[in-house]
Amino acid sequence: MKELLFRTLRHEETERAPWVPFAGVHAGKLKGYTATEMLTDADKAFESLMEVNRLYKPDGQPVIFDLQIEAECLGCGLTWADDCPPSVSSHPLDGSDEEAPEVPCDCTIPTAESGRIPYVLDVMHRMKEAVGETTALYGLICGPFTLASHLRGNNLFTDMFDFEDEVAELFGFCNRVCMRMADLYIEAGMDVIAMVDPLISQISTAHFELYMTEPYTELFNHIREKGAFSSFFVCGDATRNIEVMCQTGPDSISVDENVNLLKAKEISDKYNVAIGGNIPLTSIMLLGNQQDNMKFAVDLLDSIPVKKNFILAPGCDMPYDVPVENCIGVAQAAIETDAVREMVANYQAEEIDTSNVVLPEYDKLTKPLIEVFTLDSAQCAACGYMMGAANQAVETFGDAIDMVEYKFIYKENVARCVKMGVPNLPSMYINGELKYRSIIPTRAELEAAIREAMEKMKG
Amino acid sequence: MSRLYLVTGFLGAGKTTFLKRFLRLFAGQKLQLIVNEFGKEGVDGELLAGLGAYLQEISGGSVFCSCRLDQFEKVLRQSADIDADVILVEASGLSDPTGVRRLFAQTDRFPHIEYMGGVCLIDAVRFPKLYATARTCVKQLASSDVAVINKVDRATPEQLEATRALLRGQRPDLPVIETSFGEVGPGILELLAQSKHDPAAEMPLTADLTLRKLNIHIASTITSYDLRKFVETFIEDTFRVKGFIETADAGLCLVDGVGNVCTVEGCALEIPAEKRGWLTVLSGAGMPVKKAVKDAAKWYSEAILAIE
Repeated sequence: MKELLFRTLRHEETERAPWVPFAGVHAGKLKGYTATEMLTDADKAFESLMEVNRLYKPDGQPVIFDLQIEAECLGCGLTWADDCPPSVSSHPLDGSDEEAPEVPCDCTIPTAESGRIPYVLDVMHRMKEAVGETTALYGLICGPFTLASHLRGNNLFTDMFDFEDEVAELFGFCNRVCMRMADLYIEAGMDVIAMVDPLISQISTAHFELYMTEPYTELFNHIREKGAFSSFFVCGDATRNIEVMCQTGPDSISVDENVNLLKAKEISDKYNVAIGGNIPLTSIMLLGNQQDNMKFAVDLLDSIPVKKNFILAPGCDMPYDVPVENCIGVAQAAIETDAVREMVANYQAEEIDTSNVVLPEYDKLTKPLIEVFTLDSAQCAACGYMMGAANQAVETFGDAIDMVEYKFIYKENVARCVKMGVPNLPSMYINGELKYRSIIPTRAELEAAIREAMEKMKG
Repeated sequence: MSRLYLVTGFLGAGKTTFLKRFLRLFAGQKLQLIVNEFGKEGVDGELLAGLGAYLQEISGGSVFCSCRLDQFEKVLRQSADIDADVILVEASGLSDPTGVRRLFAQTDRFPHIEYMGGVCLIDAVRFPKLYATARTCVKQLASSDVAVINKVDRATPEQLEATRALLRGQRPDLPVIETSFGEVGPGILELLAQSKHDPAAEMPLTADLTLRKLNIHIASTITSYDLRKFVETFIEDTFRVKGFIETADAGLCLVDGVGNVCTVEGCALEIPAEKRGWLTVLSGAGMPVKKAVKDAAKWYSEAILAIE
């Protein structure tokens, strides 16, 4: 819940760690939209983000995760893709590395009408209206260093060597852009302003202190004065810069799997800054199974016994194709840690004895049998919806079908899942055949599937 | 089985020109080229067609995030269908190749690929400047097995010497080729083949005056994960790390670090007690290794007993 996250950002102890799934383009996948559709069409983005909210039960969630929005307004060319955010393909301040970068006029700083900002603000307003009471909303802004690299290109790195004053002016300009974006997003109802600056991991601590300490300190003070919380997201191995990041005074920082989170937390705790992270994006979320995800999340949560200054989150923007059940597993681990710990232990038990599991004789059934395998429909949102669909079918068909739920929290059901070969939860079977895996069927789809099963049984 | 080569180097070092030359070394073989940057000058499509190469671009605004290897892994998985003899991966000027290098060192997700090593393109004129400002440059060099100093014709003798001196200091173990216009011969493939790391090999002798050696005494309370993260914090400022360390969770482990890849694995060898618990770190002259190790030790202060 939103208040839980707020308490963490106020550095209070909480009963559990808040959970913030960084579902950017991945949100679009939930509704079958491409990354480009998700990042350009307000209706599709809103619909997708509402699905994130429904399935993953977040305490906080980002609205639009695209670090190219400001750059695009300032003249960068973008190349679009279907399964990831666009990339910057041309830099308006690119030129000879023998000449200092030109600093754009402040009159070019984006406004509420520039580029895709109207679309972003529209989605923010709608999300605030729809879930703002219960979910903390994150407004994400491309940080000044990464924005400067979008504008200038790679020469930025030699500029820092050759043109110290001019490059500092360019960072100053980018910081004023960030400031404007923060104002717009706070006005649109965002509770947390996250400065996302992945390239911070690529500069030395000395350069951070020389060029970034002042702009960031100013930014976080500004956000605080405006009454919002702040966060500092970084990607990559930012170990060396964690301490100087904390010194700029954000309410929280967020790191990925490259950083040893427990050790980083010792540093951030010294500054009373909350830290979020760091579920591995590829090896666990994208390529792992649901069990791997639940186990990783439980282990991470268990490694932080006092729930203070910690936010459970993916390391960064989740890949588009993360299987929905993996994120459901993490959500469940965040919300019902004790139950999931038990499930993981049951599953890991050396040998799962399936000898006592009697499967129905599916070919001898007289009416369709709907079997719903869930983590626990009382707690897991997605499982609840899957059961909801099954219950609707029972309302429609009454005695003409049988329906049963198997909750994974009971050991005997774990054995049944193993014997049936259930790939992930929630899943729905009709007459022993896997029909719906993580994706919840609409009422019409499920009814059609049941009628089809009835026809087959007649035959 | 496809042989994979990694080509890194900061933008402007001449990677594209180099690639065109390098590609010719594989004439007659089925080639796949993976690039992840929309550079100013794309690789010449005609040239690729002439060589029968298959080009794939990895797109995405987040490719500079080392954590976002998913796009790269996806292309690699698909590469099994292409079944090329040779895969060349060009890592973008800003991308951190650490993840790519570690992917092959630490996972066996791609059994159809044999990792052959990395080439780092170095701009003879700008390298010292870039090395001082961009950590990516440090990471690129640390990920490589052969360095190619390019654009030698444009450098003054002083500039060239400054680049050589820096390179010798940072990676005294690295074979170096000097060239202009990215011109290289088949010798580079031999150098790569020779550079394959053997973890069982002894540490180099330290009689060479350009080498610096540090010993770190580590308590057996450290976990294998913390041990690896500790070494990774300073590994880019070294060129070799090795030792036998008792850990709290995995018993005696062999720590083996080369370039920017560190492995910590259980070890069944009989190691005398006096050799256990000590990590030896080798670096070149002028590398800030001592400071880097001390900074890293602050994160693990309870387990780092001494730095000598």
